[in-house]
Amino acid sequence: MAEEVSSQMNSLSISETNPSSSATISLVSGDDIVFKVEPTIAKEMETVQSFIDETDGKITTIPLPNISSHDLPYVIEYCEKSIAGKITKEFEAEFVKKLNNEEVKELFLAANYLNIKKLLDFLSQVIADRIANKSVEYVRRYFGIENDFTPEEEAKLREELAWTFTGVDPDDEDEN
Amino acid sequence: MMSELPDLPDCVISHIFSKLSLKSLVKTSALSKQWYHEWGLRKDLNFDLHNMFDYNTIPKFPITLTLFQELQSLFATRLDNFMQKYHGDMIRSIRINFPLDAHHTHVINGLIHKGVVKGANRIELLFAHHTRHIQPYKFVFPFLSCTNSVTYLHLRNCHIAAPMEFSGFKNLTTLVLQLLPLDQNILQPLFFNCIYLQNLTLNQCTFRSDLTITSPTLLHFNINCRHVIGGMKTNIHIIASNLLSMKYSSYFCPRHTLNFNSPMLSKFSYSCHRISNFVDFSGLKNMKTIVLDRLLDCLQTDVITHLFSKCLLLEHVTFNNCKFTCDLKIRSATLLHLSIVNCLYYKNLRCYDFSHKLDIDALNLSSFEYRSHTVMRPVISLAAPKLFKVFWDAGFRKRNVSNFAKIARLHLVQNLTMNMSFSQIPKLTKDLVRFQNLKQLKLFIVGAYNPKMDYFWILDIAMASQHLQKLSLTIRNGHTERSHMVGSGRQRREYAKFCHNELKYVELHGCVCSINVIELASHLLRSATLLKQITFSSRRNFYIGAGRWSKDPDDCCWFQHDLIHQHLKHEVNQQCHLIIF
Repeated sequence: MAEEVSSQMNSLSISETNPSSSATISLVSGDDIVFKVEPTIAKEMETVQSFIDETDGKITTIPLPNISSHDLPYVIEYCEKSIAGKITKEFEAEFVKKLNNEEVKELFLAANYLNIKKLLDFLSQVIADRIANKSVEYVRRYFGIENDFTPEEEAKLREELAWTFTGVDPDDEDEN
Repeated sequence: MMSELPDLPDCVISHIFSKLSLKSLVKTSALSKQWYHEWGLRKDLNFDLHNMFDYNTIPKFPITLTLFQELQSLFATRLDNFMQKYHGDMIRSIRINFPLDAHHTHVINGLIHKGVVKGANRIELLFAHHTRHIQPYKFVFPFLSCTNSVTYLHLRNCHIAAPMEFSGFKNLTTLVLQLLPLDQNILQPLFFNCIYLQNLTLNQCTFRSDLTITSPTLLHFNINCRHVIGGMKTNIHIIASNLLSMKYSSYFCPRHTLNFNSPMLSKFSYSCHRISNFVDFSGLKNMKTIVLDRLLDCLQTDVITHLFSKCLLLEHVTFNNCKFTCDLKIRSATLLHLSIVNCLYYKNLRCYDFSHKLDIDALNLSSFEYRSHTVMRPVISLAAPKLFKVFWDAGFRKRNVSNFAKIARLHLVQNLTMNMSFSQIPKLTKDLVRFQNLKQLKLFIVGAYNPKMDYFWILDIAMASQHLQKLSLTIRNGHTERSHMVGSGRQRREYAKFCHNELKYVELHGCVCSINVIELASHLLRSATLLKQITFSSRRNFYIGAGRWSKDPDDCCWFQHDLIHQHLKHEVNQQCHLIIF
């Protein structure tokens, strides 16, 4: 008999278990705000976990100077959902809806620093979708790529592959 | 704002670019000299609407021929331009999923040529469209003769001309031919050249001659003629000494007679209106699994007797949507799993017949599935001393419970799944308390909501089955309003003597946001001493046999997390999880 299909719905989990015996981990953002998280959350962040492992779990306060208190709650929320196995398309869509392109990039850098594979992969797709219809100039600025073509070279290239440069959305310079 | 953030490392940007569509990917070549080469790293080239047009302006197929042809030539020009400029060293796969035709032969051949030269091992040419005005692309490859990289080939709506040169496909392991006419002259050289072929699928193809499939390496063969209309009667002769599984499906009466010379065949699935001049099972001595589906005619005792007398190793047998015109007798010592699902029972076509017999004698049968929603109720006799897993769904009419008593006699059953209606509960409870070895019980209950009806009968069953470890209840009663919780403030009823020492998991699905279900949960929480987890969810799909589940109906029950939590939070103890989703 087939196993039951697991439900895709968002779940609310309420556990009334003993408080875990191991201590919580304190993550300190670049602007000195402390976030207390369960050790299971820290496990999702490879950078944090290797720090804990290196000190044999003696140090439970970890400074993250590269990450702001604006991004850290997003990262923690994603990790929580990930552990609970509750990452759905709906959740992901909602998760990035309010973030502009610069904020997505900032979050991406945080995920990259903390080395959270699932979040990185998801944000890669988000960025890919968002730059798909942007102009070449926008993408250069977004990734900090310097144009080293001569104007003639670039014009020739654009002419040869003209069909790919159609249908470009206007750049939204003011992302704030 | 833009300049404040540090730049992303190149390897990360490259990873992001790998997720772009082909059109957007090519655009990155204009970024800088370094990124000019990036799109050459794409090894899987998939040419479809999504990849070749703008992300948010993917065109719809136009209805007029002129506009359609314009779209075709736009697509073909883009594809050609892409391949002309593509400078990657290696291609892994090429795929076109777009209705190109004979007019674009030059472009398609160019793609295939470049793909094969650069080492592609997977080619998919999926051309098909509803318009009949296009002439299919003709698949001929004299230029492929020197390459052997291709292992997977899928052709849809191409034209294959005989004699076909398959000499370039020496290493082909999987071939899928779809929506194209076939005859022996086309297939013969294929089997001659493709000496490693393992999987062959003929999907919606028309056969213009008798076919002989000769391949000592073939393992899996699938013929699907579901939507093929017309066509002549043909014989299909299968000479495949290592064939393990065969699947045949046809929507109408069979136009194909299957002859096997495949002694290793162990898995056979046959879906068709009727078995005509069917299969001679005598050559299929190693058959272990058989699925007979939608056989509405001709499934008479002799076919089944023949099946069981020739295939002496049969372990899994499924009858799905079949019509039995005689009593069904099954005698087998090897049979492990038997499913008789959604079948009809007619001896006499003019009237309903209540004397039909299902007589099963299977010494080693361990799992049995039965589902029937017709008014025809065959008399079942089941001799299966080792049966431990049962799925039973005899329809929701009140009188349909009669047969179940026979199952209840088999009290070794440990795993029982049952679909029932509220009206059947009083009668069925009497039978259900007779199972004393149950470890897992799943009940799917349908019917109108009745606020007076409690669920204490479940506690009766649990009391009788002291080894029960997992209990799952799915309720569907079509109510969408708050009325479920009417009386939620009332004094709870008590079932004083209830206790259970083995039950570990309880699942309550569907329309369970009602005071009666909460009352049940509350008893379980208080008196099942080993309970580890109790789960509430609004999911309401039912198991319907043969591995299938019903689709969830759209009208959703009223379900509120907070309310359930509020009612039960004080009764959850230390070792038990309450999960609500």
